[in-house]
Amino acid sequence: MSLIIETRKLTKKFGNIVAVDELSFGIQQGDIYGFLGQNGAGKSTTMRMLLGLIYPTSGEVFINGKSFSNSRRYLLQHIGAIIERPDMYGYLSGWDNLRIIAKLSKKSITKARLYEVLEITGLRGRENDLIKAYSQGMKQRLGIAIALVHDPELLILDEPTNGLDPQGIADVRNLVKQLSADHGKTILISSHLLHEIEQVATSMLIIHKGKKIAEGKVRELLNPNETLMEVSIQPSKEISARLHSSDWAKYIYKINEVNMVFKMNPDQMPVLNEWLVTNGFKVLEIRSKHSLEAYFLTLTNDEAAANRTI
Amino acid sequence: MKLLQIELYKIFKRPRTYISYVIIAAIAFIIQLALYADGDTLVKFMLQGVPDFVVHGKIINGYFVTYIILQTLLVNVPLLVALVAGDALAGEANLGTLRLLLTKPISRSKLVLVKFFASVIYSMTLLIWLAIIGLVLSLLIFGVGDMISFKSNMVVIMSANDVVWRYLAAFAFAGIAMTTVASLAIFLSAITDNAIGPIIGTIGIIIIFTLFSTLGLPLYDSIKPYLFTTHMLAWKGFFYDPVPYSSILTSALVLLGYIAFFITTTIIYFNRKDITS
Repeated sequence: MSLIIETRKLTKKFGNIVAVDELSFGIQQGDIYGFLGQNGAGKSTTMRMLLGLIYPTSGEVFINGKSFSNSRRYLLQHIGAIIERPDMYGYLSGWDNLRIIAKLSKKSITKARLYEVLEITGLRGRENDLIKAYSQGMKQRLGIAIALVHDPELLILDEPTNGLDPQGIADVRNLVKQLSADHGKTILISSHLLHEIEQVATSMLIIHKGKKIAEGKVRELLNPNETLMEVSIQPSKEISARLHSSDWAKYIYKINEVNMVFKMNPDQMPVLNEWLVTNGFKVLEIRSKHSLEAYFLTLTNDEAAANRTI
Repeated sequence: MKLLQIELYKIFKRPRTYISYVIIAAIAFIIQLALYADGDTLVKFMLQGVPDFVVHGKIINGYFVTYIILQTLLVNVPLLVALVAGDALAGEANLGTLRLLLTKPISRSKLVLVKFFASVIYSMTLLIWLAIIGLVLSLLIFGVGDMISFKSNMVVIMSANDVVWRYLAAFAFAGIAMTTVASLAIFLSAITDNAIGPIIGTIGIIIIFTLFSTLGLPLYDSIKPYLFTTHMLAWKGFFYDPVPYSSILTSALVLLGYIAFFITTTIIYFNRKDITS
């Protein structure tokens, strides 16, 4: 499959601050590509560079093989985007906002198409309300409708679930999956939450302080054999010696008198639990977390959350 | 053209746009009411510096009242122009819609020009409204008559059938002056993401420059010819006899130069700007 987006050593400096540092990645056509990083990691700056809102200090963006800086206006015809918040004209109705922005797309967009995207995003019937009367979730959905209206092949969605309640988050997640499955869109979606990306994305890029730290297929990066299983037991001085001499030794990630962490597939946990009980250890609690998530939480300085597992 | 239609739609759909029309109507009405009730006192006061001047006929007529309204309002209209033009780009940035616009296939230069032309059209509607409220309404209330205007301590008298063209010319010149204000406001609007900054900035620059232009202090005489505010007042020349066409033309050219400078600078700056709002 061909790459729809490719960046080569993309760098952005604001004065002495390096917001994005030689970032190279590629997104294949049809992918839902998760873009993960803590707040301030450089996700929005990168997305703004992909859309020509911010000029790279160095490096280049290619969309469908064409240099973005040389073909900005042509390439933007094939991209729909929401960057940060779906801000709109509050004194206009949802319909007016959609209609106005649709007119800027260089494509002839029919009324039927406007109704179609309202239908897809679940806003049909609320289009005549003023934006200032919209909930955050409705604004997000209208933002997606605006991004979709000219039927672009690529959607760039920057933290589209921000500020939404759990139902709103689930709605947006389902919508993203539907747009990929039913409408064949390639979607770049960013988040600072791994489990959000994990649930929708087929591929994933993790950045930290503007640098790439991981990229690949979600199923490979989140390989179940890399799950960290933490087992809490009643204090026992024998545990370390007994485990190291058993078949479980190869899975040991970390161990002390009360906690053991194994890197293993969660499917093996019942067998390990049985072995522990049979060998006289009192198991108090078992928790699991993927090693990538633990790593990501460490990066995002959520030490407490990270340490709950490792 | 489509982009300009959208801009105008956004401007005229916004309730606060209409505040300017209300302010103009209110000021014109206050002046009309005051002159209707006690216009003679004002005329006596204005003629104090002109000894042995005897007036026959109806001085407080529609043309004279319009002249007084213009004197007052052409100082205030730039502030109203700044309200919309200063908001043109910075308001979009502040609202977050600038990034929405710029992720569409439109050029940044075109966006600046469209914002500028939309602000100019809005300014022209203000002047047309001012003409309707000032000239038409004053003629209906006060009637037609020969017009007097004042130049330093001189009184200029124009016959009634020699006035309308002067007003048309004055309004046309005011159009150039307001376009200069709009271009300054657009420039300030491009360099900030805060909607209030360019509005206050434009108003501040106009107030300070107007002070330099109108203060009779020799210290500032050397800079006066370079300030656009000095040339914005050239519309008054159409009510002198003879009309100083040469100096009016010079003022118009200076203002056009300012417009070209502000808009070119805005386009260059905006094309290089990182949109971080």
